[in-house]
Amino acid sequence: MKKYLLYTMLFIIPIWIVLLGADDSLSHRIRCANSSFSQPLYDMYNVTDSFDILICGNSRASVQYNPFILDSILECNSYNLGYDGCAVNIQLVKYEQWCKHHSNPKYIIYNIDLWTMNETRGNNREQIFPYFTMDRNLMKNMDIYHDYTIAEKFIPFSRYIGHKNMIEDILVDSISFYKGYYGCDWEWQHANVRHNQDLYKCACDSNMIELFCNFIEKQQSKNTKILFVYAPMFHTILQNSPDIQKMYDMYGNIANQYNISILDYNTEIMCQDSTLFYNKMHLNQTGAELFTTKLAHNIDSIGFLKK
Amino acid sequence: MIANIIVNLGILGIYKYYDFFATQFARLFGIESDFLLLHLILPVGISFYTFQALSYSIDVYRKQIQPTHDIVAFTAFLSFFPQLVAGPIERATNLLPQFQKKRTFDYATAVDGMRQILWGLFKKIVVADNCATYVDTVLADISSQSGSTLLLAAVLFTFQIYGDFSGYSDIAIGTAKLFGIKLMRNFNVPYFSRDIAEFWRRWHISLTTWFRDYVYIPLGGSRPNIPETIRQKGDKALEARYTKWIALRNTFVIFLLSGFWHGANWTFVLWGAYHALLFVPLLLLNKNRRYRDTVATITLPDGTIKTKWLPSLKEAGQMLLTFTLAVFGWIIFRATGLKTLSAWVTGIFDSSLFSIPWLMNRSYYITLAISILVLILVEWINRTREHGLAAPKVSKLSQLLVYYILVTWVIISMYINQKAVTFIYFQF
Repeated sequence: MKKYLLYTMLFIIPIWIVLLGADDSLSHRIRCANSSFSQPLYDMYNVTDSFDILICGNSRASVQYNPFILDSILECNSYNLGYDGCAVNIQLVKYEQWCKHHSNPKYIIYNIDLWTMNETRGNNREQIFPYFTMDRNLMKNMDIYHDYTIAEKFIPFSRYIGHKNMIEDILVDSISFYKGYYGCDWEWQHANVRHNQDLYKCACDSNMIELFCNFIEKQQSKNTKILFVYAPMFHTILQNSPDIQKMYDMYGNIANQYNISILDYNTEIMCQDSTLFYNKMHLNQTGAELFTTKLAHNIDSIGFLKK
Repeated sequence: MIANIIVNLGILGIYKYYDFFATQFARLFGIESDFLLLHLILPVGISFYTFQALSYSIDVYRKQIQPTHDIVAFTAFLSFFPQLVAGPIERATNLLPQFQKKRTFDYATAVDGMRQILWGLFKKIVVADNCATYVDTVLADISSQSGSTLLLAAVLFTFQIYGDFSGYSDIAIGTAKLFGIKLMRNFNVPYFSRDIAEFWRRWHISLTTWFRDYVYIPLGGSRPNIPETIRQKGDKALEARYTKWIALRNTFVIFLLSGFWHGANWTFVLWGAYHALLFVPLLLLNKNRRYRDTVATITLPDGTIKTKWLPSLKEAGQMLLTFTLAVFGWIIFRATGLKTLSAWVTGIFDSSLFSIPWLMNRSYYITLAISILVLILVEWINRTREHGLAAPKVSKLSQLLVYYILVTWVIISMYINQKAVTFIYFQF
């Protein structure tokens, strides 16, 4: 038995070393890729500045809040920490990672919407592909929410298995990325899409709400000021979603509880203009710039930033 | 005994066949079938362990084994994990005693088990899963494919199902060896068979022998008892005709049952009937037991088997013909229904049969061709051994090199294949 175990181990060691090398090489290439999947996390580890304002939320944060405009109008230094396809649970994991490498922000602009409290499980796993070997702590945190197998966590290269096409897409992707923001200069894609009410339901998951409230309490204890923002959604969502009032009530209660201001852009005239959106949920680059300009002026006017 | 068979087959029948018969019944009488259906989820491997349980009961009834009082050994026999979901369907006479006696670790057996697992992984992941990519893509849109593409899909499915099922069997048998358990052989290079009778002695051996021992022989097999009324006439020709008729009937029964065992679908029944029909000429000409040895081998006076490098022209022709017949059988097996089967067969015999088939991409095609070639070559060289990597007669360094190449090939194939293809026989 000892001889068998010893020889098996000796046989496996070279394979393990090769897999480790392949994993490291591929991870490095993905980290360096200019992709909307890899950049949002990778850039977070690269930037070393300290920032006054952090923008948090899902893809509706990452493609709609332009830090360049905020910085110019508010004379500050902001960074967009939006995370595509993720609800508050994953957004906060990203925020925690951010805090491990940077100082605490003075202000947080939190993009809230119908999908923020919808627990994310297992989707968009490609977004954290390369970071497993890079950051074991991140792996541990993400493990709570993503369905990674033991093999994927501990056997090098195994998490890439079966994802060749996706990895190739990541490697050839090219986005214009600026401080966590990437504007999408795309045409309107939802012209012929029928309204699906299930997509526009508001999840009020009690665990997610509790997680969110804990986050707010923790930030307020560190004197970080939080602002809630409803970024524009296309008007048909507002008209047809069965849960708009439920959403307003939920965030309204949280805002009241923690004395947080809310800016609502869902009633803006721009919500009627499909030339400013690429789909019902997301503004295109032009729309994003217009919205960020308005937001910056409004932030200035309500005196959210302490001068 | 009867109660035992009714309970075992009853469970299998309700889970696997009830909805099928209810649908056929409703269709026959033109009534709505929805309210009749149970929509039960088929438990994985139910056909395998039901047959294994039946073999124990029948063997005890026949007094071939003593009933066991060792509940641990019995449950281990029924649920031994490597072969639980897709066989080999073990006999109590072989497996049960192995759980009852003390086992000691044997280095050579364990190493051989590892080799067999590696060969099984190669067959499954490199050959079968790569074939599946092409076959699934082609069959997703069968009507727009050329005849040559459909024929290539049929040939590749032939390798897919062999790689998939025999690969699983190798992994199961190899894993069992690590625990000191010897499972029965399930495949013995079936595509090197010289006729369809030999093919069935080499394909899914555990199921074929199960049907032979528990259905075919009890029904009279090929040597039935001659009824007294015929015997009294003293007509030898009549007795011979009667014997032949019973053998034919029994052959059809086991092939139809074997087809139906695979699933509640007419295509499986048709597949069984197709093979029974191929068997008929051999049975009528008394040639069904012609080839009991392995192709291109010579048995020396001392009993050792010497292999030849190449088969004779006649043997090569026989193997090619048997392989072609098997390919058409697999078309019936793979078709999801009679309409798909019809579209597939008529699609092949189209004027486009002689056009260049659609190929996914050059690198995929080359890799697949090489992997199939390696499969054929390795199995040909080792056709008298238990598995492709058994008892190698090359230096340790060469062995190690081969193992590393296979491991690398398996890993790269896993990376390239977009989805893990589940074992085909898990559905049965």
